[in-house]
Amino acid sequence: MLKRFMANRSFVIGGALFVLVLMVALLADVIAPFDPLRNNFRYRLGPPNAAHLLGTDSFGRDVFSRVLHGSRVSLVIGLLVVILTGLFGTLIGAVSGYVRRLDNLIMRIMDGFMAFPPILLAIAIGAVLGPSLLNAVIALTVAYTPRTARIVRASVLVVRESEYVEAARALGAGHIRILFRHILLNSLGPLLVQLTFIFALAILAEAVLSFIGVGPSPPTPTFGNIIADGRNYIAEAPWITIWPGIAIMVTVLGLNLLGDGLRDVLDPRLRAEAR
Amino acid sequence: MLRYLVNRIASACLVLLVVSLFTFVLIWLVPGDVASQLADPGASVEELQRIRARLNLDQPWHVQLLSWYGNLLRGDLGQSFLLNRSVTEAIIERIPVTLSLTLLALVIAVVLGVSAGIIAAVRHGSWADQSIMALALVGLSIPDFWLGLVGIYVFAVALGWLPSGGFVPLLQDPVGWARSMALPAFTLGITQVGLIARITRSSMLDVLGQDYVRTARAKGVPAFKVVAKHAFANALIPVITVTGVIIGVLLGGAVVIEQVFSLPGVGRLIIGAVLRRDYPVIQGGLLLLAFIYVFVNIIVDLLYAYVDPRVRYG
Repeated sequence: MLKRFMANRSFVIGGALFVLVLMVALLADVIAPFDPLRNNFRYRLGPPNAAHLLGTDSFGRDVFSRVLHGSRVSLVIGLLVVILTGLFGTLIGAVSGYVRRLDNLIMRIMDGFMAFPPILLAIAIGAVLGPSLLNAVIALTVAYTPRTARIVRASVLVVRESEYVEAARALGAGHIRILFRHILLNSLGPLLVQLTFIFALAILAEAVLSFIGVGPSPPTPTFGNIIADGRNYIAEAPWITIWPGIAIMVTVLGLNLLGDGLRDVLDPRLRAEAR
Repeated sequence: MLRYLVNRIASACLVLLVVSLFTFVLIWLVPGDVASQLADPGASVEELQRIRARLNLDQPWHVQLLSWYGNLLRGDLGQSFLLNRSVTEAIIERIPVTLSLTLLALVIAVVLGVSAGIIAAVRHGSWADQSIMALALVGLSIPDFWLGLVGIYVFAVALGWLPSGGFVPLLQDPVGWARSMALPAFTLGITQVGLIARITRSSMLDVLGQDYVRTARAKGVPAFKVVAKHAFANALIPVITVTGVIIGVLLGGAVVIEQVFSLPGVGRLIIGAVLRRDYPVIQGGLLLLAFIYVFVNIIVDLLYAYVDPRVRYG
């Protein structure tokens, strides 16, 4: 199995990129040359130089340090969204796929949520709850859970009819045991792939939320907040805007590659289709 | 076909019911007292009461719900706090900007994505295929609003070719309109090219491997015609499906892109309302964009049934 992962180019490149971003986020305190919140009015909107690798913003804060620390906040939000989406998506999807009587009702409700463009749903919920890290996580979880639930339900429907589930039932296993031990464990592959893509989507969406002022409030550095800070100075100090965007791109690209790789290895049927 | 249509519309109505119910409940999610959040800090009790009455929050919940649906059926989405006018009017005035932006972006995404996907599939395994697929993945990883800002920097600030924002109505000055929409539409469209290219490519590869394509080739149909007629018509179905999904993404993306380029559309209205806690406008805008999305998806599904007769009887 490990060999198959290592032979997959997407998985290796994506994994390397993601580990790099993860290290940077974990070691932000060590790497960052400045305090991301410290103002320096003598060097406002300063272009990149030896001390400030990526320049400074309108408060004279070091953009490099802010991007490093921003990656930490953005990754935490992404990770929390992935965990919560995985949890609720699995729960809703499993119940819907396993308990036939509830299936129609649950799926129609999920359809209703999926009728909102996800980013718009997140903006509306974030707006109503108020700007904070936790609220951004809640908003994004509500936006992405229906898609996860749908995927889990689809694989539960397939696995439920398989012979070994029938065998387990014949041996007298209870519903809960069948659902968790036999069905969900065998639906993990598609879920894992989906969650990797949700991680990528959540990073992108968090940037949007922060950018329009529904994410963690400034001066907390997140990718979106830094870009929002740079927006008014795009002509004089483009570096404030450009670098956090590139950081988002590298993070999301890594996750997308990782997801592609996981899918190729875990689901050979799809690979045959996508070639 | 008629039965399919009726079924489709019935399930859409159910979805719209959930959508409107959620939008209604949204205002209850506001932590604490809505009225005291909206009023000035030193507002009197009467002032707070007036705000509650205006939002119907002084009524029991079932009365609130009934009047919400009653108003909705009459097309009344309530009054905006800050614009001092009806939400419906404010939205209708701005909807053409949002729809034209979304439509332009869709055309750009589909034209570029389908062409890139076909080239990649026909030249399967070549450097062209590999670079198109790599670019597609990079495109999927770019935040659209950031791409817009970079576009402003390059084309408006550095080169001075295009305006950095603002809107010119089509009927007033067509050239100015095209100039004002070019950058936003490209920004929004280009982020979805990758997805369409990937789907088109895999669907084309699937079809190109089928027996009837080999038959067509064997009987001497020119290569271009095989690709354009025999293969593409059948490869179209997954592309249509993903187009339906993409319209939702584009409508959501348009909200942010309008903000970046200062276009007076529904998105900018919603974000303005978000920042000032103008809840009726948020609810109205959310509801309207979801309605449009559901409606568009019915059309997509019908198109689907038209292109692929198997769907109708399935």
